[in-house]
Amino acid sequence: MTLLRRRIPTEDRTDDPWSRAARLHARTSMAVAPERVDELAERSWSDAVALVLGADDPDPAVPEVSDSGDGWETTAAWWLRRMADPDGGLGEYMTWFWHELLPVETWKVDLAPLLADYLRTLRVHALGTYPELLRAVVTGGAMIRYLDADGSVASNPNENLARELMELFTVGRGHYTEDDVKAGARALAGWHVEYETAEVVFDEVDAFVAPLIFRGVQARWDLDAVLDHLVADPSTAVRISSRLHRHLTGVDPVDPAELGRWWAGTGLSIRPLLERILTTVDLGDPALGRARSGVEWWAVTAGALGIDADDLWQVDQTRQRPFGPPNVAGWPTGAHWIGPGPLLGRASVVQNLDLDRADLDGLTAGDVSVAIDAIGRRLCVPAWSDATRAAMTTAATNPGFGDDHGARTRLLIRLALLSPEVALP
Amino acid sequence: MTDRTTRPADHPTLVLPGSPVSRRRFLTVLGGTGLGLVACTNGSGSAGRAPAPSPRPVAIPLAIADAGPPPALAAPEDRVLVIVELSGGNDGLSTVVPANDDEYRRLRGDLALDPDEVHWLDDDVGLHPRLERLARHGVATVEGVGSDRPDLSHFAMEERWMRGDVRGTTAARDSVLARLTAAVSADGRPFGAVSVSGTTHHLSASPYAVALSDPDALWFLRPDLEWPEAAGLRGAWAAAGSDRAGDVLLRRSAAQLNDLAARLSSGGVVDRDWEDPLVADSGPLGPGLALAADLIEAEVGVRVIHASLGGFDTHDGHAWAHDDLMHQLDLGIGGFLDRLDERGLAESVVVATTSEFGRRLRANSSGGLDHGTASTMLVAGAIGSARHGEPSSLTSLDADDNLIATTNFDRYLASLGQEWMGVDADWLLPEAAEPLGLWA
Repeated sequence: MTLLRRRIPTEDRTDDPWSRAARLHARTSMAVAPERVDELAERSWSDAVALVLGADDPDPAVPEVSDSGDGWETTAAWWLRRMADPDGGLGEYMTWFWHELLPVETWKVDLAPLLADYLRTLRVHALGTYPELLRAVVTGGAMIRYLDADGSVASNPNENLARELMELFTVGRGHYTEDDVKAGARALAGWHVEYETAEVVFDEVDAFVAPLIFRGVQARWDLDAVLDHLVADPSTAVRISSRLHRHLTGVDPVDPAELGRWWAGTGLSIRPLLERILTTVDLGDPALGRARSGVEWWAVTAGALGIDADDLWQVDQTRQRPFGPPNVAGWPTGAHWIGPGPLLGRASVVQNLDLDRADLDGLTAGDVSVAIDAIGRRLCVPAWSDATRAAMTTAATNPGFGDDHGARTRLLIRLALLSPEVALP
Repeated sequence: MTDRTTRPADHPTLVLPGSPVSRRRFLTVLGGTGLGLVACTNGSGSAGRAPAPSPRPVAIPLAIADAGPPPALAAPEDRVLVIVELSGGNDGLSTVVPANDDEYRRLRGDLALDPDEVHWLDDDVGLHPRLERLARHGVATVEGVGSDRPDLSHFAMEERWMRGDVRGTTAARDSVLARLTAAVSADGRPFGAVSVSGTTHHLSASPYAVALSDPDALWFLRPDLEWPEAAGLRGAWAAAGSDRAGDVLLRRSAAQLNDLAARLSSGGVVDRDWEDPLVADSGPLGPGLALAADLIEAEVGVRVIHASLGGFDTHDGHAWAHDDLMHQLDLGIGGFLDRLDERGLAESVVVATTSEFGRRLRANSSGGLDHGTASTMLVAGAIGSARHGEPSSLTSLDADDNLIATTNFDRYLASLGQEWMGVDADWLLPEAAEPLGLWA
């Protein structure tokens, strides 16, 4: 299948078009495909970015599920298969980003159809606008249950949704008061999830219909008005655009306020923000980079090797899975994923990989250095560092392998998957 | 005891292979296990390649760069502190319960616990009905613990607890546990702390700590693993990569795991017993605390252990949710204390809870309790059963209808660090905090 069309240079050269393209691809796609990198490498940076941004919206046809005990697993498995498809591109990448920012969790959202709905919502709006995405998520049954707005009555409201909506999803700390939390909780009361039908209903009897003061403004506040107000606040644009900037590049924007202002001018439209970040930051710079999270690493692994992506037991060992955040702030980011705990988890996954069923075509022939290059290409590694190449070479020249190139390649793949080059694209 | 005042100068930074480090220092950094190190550090290309150059020297700032020399220890060196973090904000009033208090019964209504079911500690308060094992072992309570300038954000308060920064006024600073670990770690050991619950950030930045996500994955570290490739992997993963900061950190993680493997092996801890009731039947805390007990018994230099139990953010259905959480807490800590007793270790180990805040006095319309302020901490193991601190008033509340803390939480941390572990509280904490006399 995969013919070795080029040698990956040993030295990390930022001016190498393929390496630059590989970095762009790795930071805009869950799974990776060398053929895609080839396409990007033939273009100028701006043309390559345009190609990435030209991605279709993610497929919204999340399968219907019944309210059975394992319904969430069906949905998660479907999603993981999409993520491991290298053609998923930017749509899958952004769907996962929004799940990390606006997470829900299976234990509290104990109705599988709500999770399927939630995933459909993320996918429909993944490349749309943030206000529409946020409204759809927050008015969905999954988030209403996850943040305890289900059944909240205005006379004695539940504060959870109001607080986290402001602290995590919009304006952020320092831009609201405890009085705003209390008033917001009243404004957001009146919503229920019908357990039998999984339908979201609004009951005016439980809502607060009189004027109240929220963020210094006296008005008849309801969910729509609260959301409109919060997404229009400049600090929402700054927070969310900075978060996306870190997700793509691993670093904060040089001028977060300026990026936020600019983004607000687009109506918080997601594709323009992606284009702006991708064309103002040199993603080809190897000094930049962000550790892949557990699921991102799994999508690369399963996608590149053609193994079953929906093995939830294996996914769980990466210390991350769909619908499984530790709390409403989502998973830890950054250096957490290169810490010893997640590394040990990935080692466990790697050992348990069924590589006998993997697509090893083109990865076994030739001497060790040829195999190492072929594996690097398959995983879209811009370039192996000298130390990684040396470590892989040493391990693979174990005399026990003899002529068993399959066994040698399986070890090399495991080493590659645990390497810094794959952990930190 | 070694002269600790010389230690910071001895390793102000970690320096990775490629730089001219002494062999002793090198082994300290990479764990001294020898696992695959020859292959890694020589980088010898046995496929006819020239030896690859080692990565250029890279200095990683130590987490306690701003700390100054760790103070001399004023407590025996075999003492261990186990922190159990109750994540989400544990309701103190449902943990140490003033079950006969009229105001408590009035404010809590349906959520008030039955005076006939609590485990009475004295005439005023009793432990939650599900804390059976803890009641049997005996616990110290520390009541009214919080901040005199509270915040109702989980994440802000977690951060403050982590740094011992009671009012949220201190700039970025290492965690109290990272400092504590640095101060008590024996010379020549790259870590003295283990987090057995993964996603904590209390210890993840510390070069002296290993934050494991899940003891289940430890099998990979077995030296006798019936999978010959593992040794190759463990050798290679501590050597791969360039001099990017992230690559350096990843190598450090790998080296720490290799070191842990060696220590587990030398202490005979590697064989995890899946049938062990503390692992199999003692709730989410059980496996981590079973590992903690093994690490303590093996005397492999681990003196600070962090575990966490989630789910305390009981905005909805507090009664049943909290009941289950108390049961999980009791199974985990109670089983751990039983284990320490069986092994004769009870005199040297203290288990102490933390939680970012307590919960609101009055229930919301979901039968839940929104975010609060002061809470009650439990300390078990090598400590006398007694009540400490002072319960918050149930009648005099703050502007948000929350309890007013009587005891700033940095004083609690000062007690654990100074009174139990013998590390000067002034060195551990950003501001002066008087210990509470928990062992007085």
